[in-house]
Amino acid sequence: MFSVEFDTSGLKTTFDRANIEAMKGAIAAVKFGVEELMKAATRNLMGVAHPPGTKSPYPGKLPVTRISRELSKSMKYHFFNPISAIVYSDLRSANYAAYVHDGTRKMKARPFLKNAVSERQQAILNRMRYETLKRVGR
Amino acid sequence: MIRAGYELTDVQKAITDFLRYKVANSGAPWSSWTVVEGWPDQTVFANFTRLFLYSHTPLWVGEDIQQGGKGLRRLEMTIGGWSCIAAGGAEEAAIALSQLLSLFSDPAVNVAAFNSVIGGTAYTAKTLPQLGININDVTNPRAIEFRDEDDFRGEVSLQITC
Repeated sequence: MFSVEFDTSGLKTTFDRANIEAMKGAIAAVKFGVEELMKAATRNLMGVAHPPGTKSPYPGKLPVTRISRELSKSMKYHFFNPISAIVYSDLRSANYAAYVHDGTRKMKARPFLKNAVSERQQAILNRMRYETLKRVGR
Repeated sequence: MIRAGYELTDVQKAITDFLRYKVANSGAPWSSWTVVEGWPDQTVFANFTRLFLYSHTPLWVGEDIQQGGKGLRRLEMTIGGWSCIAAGGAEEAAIALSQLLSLFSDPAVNVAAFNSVIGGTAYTAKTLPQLGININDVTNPRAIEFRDEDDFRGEVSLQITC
């Protein structure tokens, strides 16, 4: 009787370790992404302060001018799980956020969050690639 | 051709001219729309009975690195359709959104020839790549509705290199 036995338990262990390390990389990258978007969006909301009832010194442009600072304080994030999160403006704090972001007939759009994503998405993707390769490559 | 130092305004002008060409030379629903360059002003809303297409100024999002030469600039530009109840409401805005997605995701967008005036120079029957613009992708489609303001919109983002 002749038989060949394959034992791939070592390979499975290697794959399992690679999966764990890839997950760690994804967790670090998502955390970085949330921090970057929060920073960039908040920066877009930190324009010149002016009193209520006065005209904006530079209407229709970013960064959004500040009257009450409620809009910048409304920026929040939430982790659904370690690799999935959301950055948003809490409408309970500033119910006018959507009007500022998307504009109206009388007010030009100032997409403080959309522009933050556009500006930082390449850096976030680069970090995701770096964090994953760094750990899996070990 | 897109001029160095004027990329944002030139790209906006060329894309707007392309949309004007599309509106002028297509059947329904395009033929019932108009085009506005940039953000609409009050004169547009004073006689608002047809959906109009509008464009944001492009956003500079990066530059491709190329050894031994100047890399291509990567821009992101938001364009959309703006409707109101008199112009067809939410349904017309949804049609504009899907038409814009269909138009810019089709590779034919880069071979359609149209007339454009950029920086005072008239270009006749040129394609977007001949003007120095490449549409790489169309992303982030979204509907925006402010029913209290009678605003119904659909927007997409164009990923451009120039």
